Amino acid sequence: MIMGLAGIVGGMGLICIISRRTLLGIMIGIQLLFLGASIMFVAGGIISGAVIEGHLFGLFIAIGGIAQLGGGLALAVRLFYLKNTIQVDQLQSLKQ
Amino acid sequence: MVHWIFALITLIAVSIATIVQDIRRAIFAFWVAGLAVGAIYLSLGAEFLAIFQWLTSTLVTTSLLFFAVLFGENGKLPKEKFQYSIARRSSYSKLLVGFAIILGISFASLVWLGVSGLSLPVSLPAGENDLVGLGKKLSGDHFISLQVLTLTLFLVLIGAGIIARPEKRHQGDEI
Repeated sequence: MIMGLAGIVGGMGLICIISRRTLLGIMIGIQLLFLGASIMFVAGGIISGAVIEGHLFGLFIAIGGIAQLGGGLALAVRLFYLKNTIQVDQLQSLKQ
Repeated sequence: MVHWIFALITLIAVSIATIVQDIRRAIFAFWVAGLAVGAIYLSLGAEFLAIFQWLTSTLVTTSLLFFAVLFGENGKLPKEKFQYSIARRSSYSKLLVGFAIILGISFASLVWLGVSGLSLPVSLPAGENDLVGLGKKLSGDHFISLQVLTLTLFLVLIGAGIIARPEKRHQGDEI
C-alpha cells in the first residue's frame, strides 16, 4: 500500500509537470516525482529486508532533488533575466 | 496505523499541489506533503531520513516561495479586487498560522509522548540504529556513490552560478 502511495505521488508529479506552464510549477512537479521515488525506495527496502539500503537510496534521491532545484532555479533566473517572464511557452531559446 | 493518517494527508496535499492554480498555495501544499512524508518515514523507522526530509522540504519551500515572490507569480490584480483580495489574504493568513500552530503542537506532543510508540517493528541489524547503519554503509559499501553525489552537487553549484550570471552588455547593444 505504501508502494501505491509512492506511485500516486509520482503520478501526480508527472501530471503537474505536464499541466503547469511556469518553471516553478514544473519544478514542484519534479520535486513530487522525486518524493514518490524516495518513498518507493524506503518502502521497497523494508519489504525486501534491505532496510538500510532503502534509507540510503532515499537519501541519495532527496539530495538529487536538491541538485535539480539548484539547476532549475538558475534556469528560471536566466529566463526571467532574458524574457522578463518564466512562462515556458515563450521559451524558444536561452540566447539573447 | 498512524502512518496511514499521514499517507492520507500526503495524498490530499499532493492533489492540492497538482490541481490548484495559485503557485504559492501549490508550494505550501508541497510543503505539507513533504512534512507528511517525513512523518511516514518516522513511523517506518527511518529517523534520519525523516529529519532530512523535513529539512529539505522546508528548504525547497522557502526557496520556491522566495523565487515566486521575486518573479511576481501572482501577477497584478485589478484595482476593484485589490481591497477584497487583501481581506481574503488576511483571513487565509490567520487560518494558515492557526493550522501551523496546531500542527506544531501536535508534532511536539507526539514526540514528547514518545516517538517509539509510533514506529513499526522494522528489523535493523542487531545493535544498530538507523544512523549507525547509514554511516557504516555510506563509509563502506557505498563510498563511491557518495563521492559521485558530492561531485554532482559541486558541478551543479558551479553550473547554476554560470547559468544565472548577469550578461555583460557591450556598448552599442540594444537594451
